[in-house]
Parts: sequence; structure tokens; C-alpha cells
Amino acid sequence: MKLAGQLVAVSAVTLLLPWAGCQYARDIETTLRQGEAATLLSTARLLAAAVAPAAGEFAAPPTRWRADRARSSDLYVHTLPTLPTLDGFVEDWGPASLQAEPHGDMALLVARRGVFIHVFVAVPGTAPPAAVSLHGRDLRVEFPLEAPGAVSGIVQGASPDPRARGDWQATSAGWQLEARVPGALLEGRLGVRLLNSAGAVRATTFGTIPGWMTGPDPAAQAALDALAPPGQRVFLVDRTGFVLAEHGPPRQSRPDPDAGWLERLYRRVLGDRIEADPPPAARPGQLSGRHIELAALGVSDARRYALPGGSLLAAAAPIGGRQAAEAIVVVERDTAEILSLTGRPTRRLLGTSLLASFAAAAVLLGFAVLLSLRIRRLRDAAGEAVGRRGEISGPLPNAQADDELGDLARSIGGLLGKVREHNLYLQSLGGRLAHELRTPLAVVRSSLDNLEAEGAGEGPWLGRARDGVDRMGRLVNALAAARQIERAVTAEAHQRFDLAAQVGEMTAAYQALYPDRTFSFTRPVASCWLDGAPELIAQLLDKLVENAVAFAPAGADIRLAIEESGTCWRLSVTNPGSRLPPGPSARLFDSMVSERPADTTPHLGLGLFIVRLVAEHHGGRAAAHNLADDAGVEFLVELPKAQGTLPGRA
Amino acid sequence: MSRHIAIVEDEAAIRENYADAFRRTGYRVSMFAARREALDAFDARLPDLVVIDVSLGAEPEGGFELCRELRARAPRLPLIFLTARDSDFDVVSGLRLGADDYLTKDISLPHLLARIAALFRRLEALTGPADAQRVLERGQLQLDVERLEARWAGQDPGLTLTEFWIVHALARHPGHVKNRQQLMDAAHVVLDDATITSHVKRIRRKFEAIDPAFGAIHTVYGLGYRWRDGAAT
Repeated sequence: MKLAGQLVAVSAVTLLLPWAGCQYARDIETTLRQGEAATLLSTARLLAAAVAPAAGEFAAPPTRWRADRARSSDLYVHTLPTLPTLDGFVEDWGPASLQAEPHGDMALLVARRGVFIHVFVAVPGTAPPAAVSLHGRDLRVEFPLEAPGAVSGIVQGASPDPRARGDWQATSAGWQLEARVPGALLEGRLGVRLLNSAGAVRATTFGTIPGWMTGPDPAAQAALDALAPPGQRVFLVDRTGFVLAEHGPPRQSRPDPDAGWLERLYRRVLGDRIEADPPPAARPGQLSGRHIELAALGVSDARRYALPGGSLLAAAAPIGGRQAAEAIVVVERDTAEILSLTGRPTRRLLGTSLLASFAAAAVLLGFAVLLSLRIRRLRDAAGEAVGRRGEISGPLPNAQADDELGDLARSIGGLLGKVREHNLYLQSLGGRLAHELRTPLAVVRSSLDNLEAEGAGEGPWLGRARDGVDRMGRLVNALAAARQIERAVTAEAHQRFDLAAQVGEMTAAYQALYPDRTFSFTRPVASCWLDGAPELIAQLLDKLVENAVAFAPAGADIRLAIEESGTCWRLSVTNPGSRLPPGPSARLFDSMVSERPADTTPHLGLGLFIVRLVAEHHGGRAAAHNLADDAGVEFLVELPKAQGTLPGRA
Repeated sequence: MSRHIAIVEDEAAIRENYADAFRRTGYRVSMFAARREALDAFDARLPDLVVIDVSLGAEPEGGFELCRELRARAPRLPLIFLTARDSDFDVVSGLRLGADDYLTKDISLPHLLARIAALFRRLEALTGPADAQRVLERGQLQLDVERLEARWAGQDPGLTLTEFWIVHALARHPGHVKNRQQLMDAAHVVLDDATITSHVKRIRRKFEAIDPAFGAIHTVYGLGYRWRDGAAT
């Protein structure tokens, strides 16, 4: 991983900033919500205390709450806004939300209109019974189901009552009955029994003991309207949550239309999960939830419920006794406005901290780029500091810097300095060795000369000693020569000349010099102008040709050529009959490297070293490679063309 | 009376060997190991020829100093430098010390003796009358083989013995190409090609100092050099 990438990864840590902001906003939100809940709860308690004196007017009698009574048979009596037609169908009862509710196998709906109680009964999937019996507290009203259509109620199985009427229909699902009974007959209770033709009770029955009917209570409504603060949604409910009175705007649950993406993100991450219970299941006319259950036991409670698109804060306070509430006051509030209250600061906080994070990441990225640039420059400089011949280039970048990179540059510089000293030592070693060896050689040589002159040179030994000394002398000369050549090369003056003309001239000379080889020379038509030292180029070509002749068999064809290659002249000498040794070909051009087979004359591999020196002195380069098909070896020298105005053709 | 040669050389074995060879040939020899010692002795009496090593004991270039002082006293005294370093050639040339020759210590004793003999011959010739017969003329070049003296347009370029013989070998047969080996043989020296090249370069420089348009020594690439007669202006 590159340094820049690493730093960017590290800069991801700054994302903690918005996260911390979210946590902070969440804390604020929690505190606000707790405060709101407390406020709501105290409102509920105050209301409960205020309503308590009137509770006697609407509270159900204590017998209703007897422990042995089954609450499941209690029914809620809705209020009908209009008088429906008795036609066996429930659809004309008013609000669409009024639907028959399942009670066991039966679907039931009870509503009040004036003094009448309307009852709708349906039992899907069964044949109609002989009669449907509606039980009040003391009396019962039977509706015999003969032919579908209007039916009349019979009170206590004997006297038909014209006020009790109904209408039943057979449907694809079974049958259904819509009936209307004076409320006075039922006296606030209702049980439903299905009777067969023999008058026996069929299994499907609702409320073996007739259950209590609870509905909106005018007294309760009056008490609530008198006391409830405006704008608040307040309910008066009984212990089971049946709504006795309702005040204030209805519940609304819709997403905040102003929510931006940041806020939605915030809600998604944190908001809606804050201490919210799952939404309470409720039937029309009935409130439910843990707060109702607790209040029914005499404990005030406030809690928050998650609703689709928002949340609901509800507080419940019991009215009356500590052990059993006569009624319960419920105050509700949709809490979307809380979120939107904190939403704007939250949005700003989130936005600002995200911006700060990105800015920090950008700054770090820039810094990383700068840092890696510096490191890269140092690396490149260090990599190029040591040239091919071991020479060391100038100072490294960053060496002035105060930081660790500066330290690094300085220590690399120190290291390179040592390498430079060592290289200088090695470069001068040859010359110094040659110098030191020459004096003892001179002693031996002059001694041998004296011996010979004195006539002591009997036997072959003197000659052998002389041969040895001569050979050693040549070695010593060669040792010094490399250094000397380098000096000579740099001292040579440059001029502009035609390379092709010179090589052509020299090819003719080589032909004369080596009659047993064939030389050929290919050149461009135009003059090949070069800025350089013709002497040195001649020396270079001498060495290349010498080399080619040494490796080519007698009669071989040695080809010289000049080609144009971009901004360079490419001078090549090709000889058949040999191949380069394996390994890097650049090594061939070092001094003291010879790949010739050992023979009697010492050879120190200076020839190709001179070639390289001269080529590099002219800003070019030398290379060697085997020809395809093992046809021989080609030595190449690339020399930059002369720049600027060229003289006309000579 | 036999000639007197002084050898100033810090290496005892070489000094003795050279002295033995000179004595055998019939010269008288004095030997010195240091510059001071030699100068003191030369105060009393100058030798006929001095062989000087460039580096003298503690003085790496004491020979140059000695040469300068000797030239100041005796402008015509023949001086031969012996050196273990090739680079000294350039120094000697650059300093224009006026040495008659400089040689590496590679040189064999017979070659050295031949040079000394040549220098003495020149000394004799200088004292005798000039003989037009012995002078080789090629355009503006005049070579006096007896006096081992070269002139270009009447001026002395100050060639050393080695350089004189190289010029002589070239100028004797104008137009003929002499390769490096032939030049080495003519100059009685064993040198590598690069040194011959630098000798020729120095010769050119010396002539160019007199005549900037000098171009008589022509390089024949790949072969050697030749004298271009009449090419010079």
C-alpha cells in the first residue's frame, strides 16, 4: 500500500467526528424526549386529578371489573353519525373504518344511534341458524331467520316488539344479520347465541354471560372538553382501553416532508430506535399498549412507540383508586416535531463535521503526496547517484530538511561519500600500483642488462628472465593505461567532422592492414556530421576492428555500417564466427575484462573499455549482442548527431 | 678525457645498475640520492650530462626542481628525465623545463646508452661548424641530424630527443605512412599506442606554438601518421 493510501486510510479516523456528533445529538434527543415524556406524564396526571371528581358520572360500576368476569366478551359501542338502512349490510354504517370485528368464529359490530343499538352479526362458512338470539342483562331478543330479508325481533321468545327489527342476507361466505334493538332492552350488555330449529343453542356463541358494552360517554366527553388543554390529543378510556371520550386533533402518522437526506440518514442510524416500543395493536375504539396496562393497575406511565413514519409518545394516568383505576387519562403526542426541532442543528453538526472530515482527509492526502514525492525524489536521486562507472553525482535532494527525511538524505549522502572515496581509491589504485611496480621492474631489467653486458648470460635463463620481465612490464603499462586513457579522452578537443568519410577512409586502411579479412562498409548517402574528436573515434574504431579481427576466422567478412537512428548515428562492426559469453554484455566494456581465450600475449581487455569511454565521452553508448542464427557478433556504438546548422556537403 | 655523467636517483639498486653500465661504456659516474646533495656537488663542478629521477625520496617532484635550477646555471647541459609515471610526461611538457629527453624506467640499458651517446654527439656537433649537408629540409622544416636540432621557419620548437626522432622518421619519407611501431623503433623507445599518440599530439602543439597553421603531420586513421610535404603554408 502506497504511503498516500495509508494516510487516507488513517484519515478515515476523522469520520469519528461526525459519529461523535451523532452521539451528541442522540444524547440531546434522549434528554429532550425524556423531558417531553415527563411533561406529558405530568399533564396526564394533572388531567386525571382534574377529571377525577366527575369520574362517578361515567365510570363503570365496580361489578364490571369483578375478577371472575371474562373481559373478552366486552364490546365497544361505536357512535353512528347517520341512521343506516336495515338491509343486512354493514357498509352504510358510516366511516369506512367501521368493520365487523372477529370474536371467536363470529364477526360482530355494535354501534349506537340515538336510543337504538345496532348489531351486525356474521358467521362465515356456516349455514344460517334457525334464529339469532341477542341477550341483554335481563332480556333477550330473538330474530328467527326464515327467508332472507326483513325479520322482526321477539322479546323473551314470546312478544314481538316492533322496535326490534332486523334484516338478514345469505352471502357467498355464509350469512349475516343486521339488527336494531332499543338500548333499554339490553341494558348495556350483549351476548349473541345461535339457535337451531329445536331452540337449542348452537356451539357458536358470543358471551355466554352477556358482556358489557362500552362506548363514548357524553358525561366523560363533557368533562374532558372542559378540562383538556387545547391542541393536545387526550383520551379518556376505561381500564380495558375503550375510549370514553376523545379530545384534540386525530392521530397523524406521516413522514416529515422537510427531511433532507442527512436527516433521513440520521433517523435511519439513530432516531427511530430511541427507546421505542413496538407499536401497540389496537382495535377501533380501543387504545392499547403497555402504558394502558400499567395505568389500569394504578401506575402512571409514559412511553414511546415506533410508528411508521414517526413515533408516538403516550402518557397514561389512572383516575381514582391506587389499586384499580376507574378510568384512565391518556395524553398522546406525535414526536416528529421533536426530531425536526433537533434536526436542523443536527443537520448542521453533521454537515460541518463531515466537511471537516473531508477537509482533514484532503489535507492529509496532500501531505502524503508531498511526502511521497520527497521520498520518491530521494529514492530516484539515490538510485542514480552511482553511475555505471562508479562515479557519484552531486548532492541529494532534501539534505537541508530538518525532519527524518533530511536525516535519511544526509545518511545516504554520507554513505555515498564513502562509496565515492572508495571508488576514487579503486580508480587510482591501478595507476599507483603501476607506478610502484615500475621501480622494482626497472631494477630487475637494468640488472639483467648488466648481466648480459658482462657476458654472464650463459644458458637460456637470462632470456627467460627477460621475457618474464617484459611481460610484467606490459602488464604494468596496461594497468596504468586505463587511467591514462580516461585522462586523454577528456583532454581531447572537439570539432565537427563527417563520420562516414572517416570510417570509409579507415575501412580502406584496415583492408590493407588485414589482407586476409574482407571489409565492407555501408553508409548513408548524406554526410554524417558529428561533433567530436576524430582521433578518439579512430581509436574507438581501431579497437572494434581489432576485436572483430581477433575473433573472426581468416577470410571472414567483417562488416562496418553507419545507420541513422533517431538523433544518433549508429556505428556497427559485425564479425562472423564467434559469440558473446553469457552474462550481461555491459560487463564486456569494463576495463580488465577479457573474454578472449588465454594465449601467450597478455590481454587486459582495455580495447572495449576504450570504446565505451569514447562513446560515453561523446554522449553516446556502446553495446554488443549476438546475431540471429548464431551468425556472429555485432558491436554497436550510438553517437549523437551534430546539432544546429550543418556545413554543406564536402 | 672521458665524459662525466651524474645520476640523481633515490633508488640505490637502479642507481648502481645504471652507474655500472655507464662505467662499462667508459663514462665517469657520480651518484646522488637527493637534490640538495647533487646541487652541492654541482656547485663545485658541473657534469657533462645528468640523469634525473622525477621523484627524489621525500620530494615527489624534486627532479623538476633540480632540473629548473640546473637549467638556470647551465642552459646547454644535457638533461634526461627518468620517471616511473607516464603522467609526468605531460607535467614536464607543461612546465617547459627544457629537458632533452624524458623516458620511463622501462627503457633498456642499451637504449639508454644510445640516447646518451646521441646527446653527446649533439654536444660535439654544436661546438663544430654547421654543415649544410647534414640538414634535412622539408618545406619550412629543417632537421639537423648531427645536432639533433629541429627548426620550423627558422625557430626552434624545443623538441626532446624522442620527439626529434619521431619527426625525423616521418619527415625523411614524406607521404609515407609510418605506423606506431615504426615510430617507436625510430625513437628507440617501448611505448604503448596511447603514449605515441600523445607524443605526436605534443609535437604538433610545439610546432603550432610557432606556426598556428601547422598541419604537416597528418593522421592516417587506422594506420599511423605521415608527413605532408608542402601542405603547410
